[in-house]
Amino acid sequence: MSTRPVSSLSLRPSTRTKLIKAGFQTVKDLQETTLIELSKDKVTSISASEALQQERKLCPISTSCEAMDQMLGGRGVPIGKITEFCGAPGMGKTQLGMQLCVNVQIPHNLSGPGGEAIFIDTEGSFIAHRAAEIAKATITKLNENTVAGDDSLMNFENVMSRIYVSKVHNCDELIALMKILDEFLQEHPNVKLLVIDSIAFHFRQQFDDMALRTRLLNGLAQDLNKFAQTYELAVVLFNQMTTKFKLSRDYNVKDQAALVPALGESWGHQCTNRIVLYWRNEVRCAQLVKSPNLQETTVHYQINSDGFRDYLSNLNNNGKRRWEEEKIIQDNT
Amino acid sequence: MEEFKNIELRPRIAEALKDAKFETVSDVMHRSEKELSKKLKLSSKDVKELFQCIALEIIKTRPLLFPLTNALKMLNSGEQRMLTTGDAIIDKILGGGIMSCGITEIVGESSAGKTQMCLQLCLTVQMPIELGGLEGGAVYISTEGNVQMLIKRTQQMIRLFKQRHDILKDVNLSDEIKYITVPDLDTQYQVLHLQLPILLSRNKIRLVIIDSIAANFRVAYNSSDVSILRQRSKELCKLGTKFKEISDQFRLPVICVNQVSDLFSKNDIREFIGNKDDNFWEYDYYQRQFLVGKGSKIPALGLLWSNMINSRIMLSRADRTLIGIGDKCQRTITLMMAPYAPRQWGEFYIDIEGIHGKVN
Repeated sequence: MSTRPVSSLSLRPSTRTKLIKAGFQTVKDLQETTLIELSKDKVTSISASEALQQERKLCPISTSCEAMDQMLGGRGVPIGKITEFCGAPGMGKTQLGMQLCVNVQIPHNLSGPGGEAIFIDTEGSFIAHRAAEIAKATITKLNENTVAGDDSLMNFENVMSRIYVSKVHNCDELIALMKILDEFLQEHPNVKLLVIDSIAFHFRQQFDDMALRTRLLNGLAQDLNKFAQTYELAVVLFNQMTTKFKLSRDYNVKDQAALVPALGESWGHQCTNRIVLYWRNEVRCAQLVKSPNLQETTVHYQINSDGFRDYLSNLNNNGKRRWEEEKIIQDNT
Repeated sequence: MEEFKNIELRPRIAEALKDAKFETVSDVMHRSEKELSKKLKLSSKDVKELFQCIALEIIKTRPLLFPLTNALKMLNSGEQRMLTTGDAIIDKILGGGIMSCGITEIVGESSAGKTQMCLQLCLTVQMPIELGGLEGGAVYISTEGNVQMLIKRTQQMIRLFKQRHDILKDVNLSDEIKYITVPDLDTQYQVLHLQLPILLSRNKIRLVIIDSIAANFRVAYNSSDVSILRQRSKELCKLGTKFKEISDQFRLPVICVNQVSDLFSKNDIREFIGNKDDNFWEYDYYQRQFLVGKGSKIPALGLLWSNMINSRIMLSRADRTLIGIGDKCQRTITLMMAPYAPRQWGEFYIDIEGIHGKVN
């Protein structure tokens, strides 16, 4: 469907010509663009307020790590698409998930999405007091730039109450949840983020029939894409890593295992953007490995008590092994 | 697995299910709308309704699934509190103590202090909530068959524990700790799937300990044959899922003691290459961060198990020749990974009372 040429669409001939002249060849090209860009190309004209509204609706969600926001297209996780983060345990997936749940609520006045979040927890990793810590740090930082009494002041209770959480214990529960989420999303039209942490957990266990697993994952991806587009929200999935063996030819060298995203090759095609999180040289790295329109890049990040942040090399990681980051110095306090 | 006779469905939908010989909800939920429409000969509208009914039925019995709660309610409910280890310094290293939900792994070489730590938690769990306890008993599931020794050691600790915590002086602490031995995988399965849930529903228990999670697996699946390893993976997954269910259902932490295995074999030349970063894609590179103590030991049971647990605490000792109470070897406790605190470590020592964090 997306390779269908623009010339075959039933539009006004003048519009068709303008689109083709502006370089839009297929429907896929159109799907990647926005009203504002179209108006820039002089294909159509919209008013300034329409443009602003459009901009706000599709406002990406910041990760609080500028480098990563840049990597994801400029301002963060995109709306209307599925973004997948893969990483081994301890890489900070849940931390990023909680950070996004807070950041989706950054108000319009501060150029944020001004939305709400749903966190689907399949592993039991959503800890409310850690989310509170992240929320407080972000709120403090943002309120510094706001005048007291301004509507856009973020309030701790509001932020926490607008992160909706569901705990899933098996595949059937996850599938069932997808079926009734429509109603919830209609009742909560402000939801702009759906996080699933992790998508891999239950699908890696219960299936002897791999074909069934693939079918279910495809169905899930379809449902998620539908939510992303119908309700104009960002879908963020966290995936685990598994090992893939590279048999060694050298008798003296052990067979090596590489870390690869779980859920197989076919799942790899389902999400729009895929980012892999890994350690390298004592620094946390994120690499964009798959995207239809973004360049493959690698950036650094760190996690501290405030949440997910940029990696600043002049911080406390000077020369110490990463697992000696913080030794508790016992004193008399 | 829910069956259809419990679900209220329109007669023609129920008939269609019977004709197609569909018996459980999975028969429906695991198929796509198109496939169901064809197989059941129902309209797309009917199929949608069928999905809705089944989904609602599944959800009815899972209060954590739906309706969605929110982070503020979770915070105020106090459900995710921390269980104290009994020592303020160790609590600080561990980000407050042990998380009162989910699976926490305590891993280390033998004689690192894992069992000692678990016994200590069997006591602190009985303390009132204001003092960092969970006001409940403990179930200690042991694979080592050393229950008598555990009981003796616990009695020793209880005497001193009561002296320190006056509030518990009239409580019979040892009554509230139940010891179960699981010498092999079959018994382990029986206990965890059948006996444990019954025990938990009849008593006010707020802690479950398995010491150790690796032992029975390594004996039963002692092979490098791929199909056996696959079977082991499946069993391990089932175990992890069961623990999470138990943790959520009975609102208690599950602590899994884990053993260590070798990262490198004796002939592996790469052990000496060091942390070259060319191979950062490799599983071994990632695993180096989990090296326990000074040797080449890492937590057993691999990446699959690491993906199951919520938190990992590592205990190690620098010198393995000094054994006994009041020893002088350097012992370290590390919070390796947790969703609520950063990586931290510190030193500790063990004495007749139990485990204490070391003041520098």
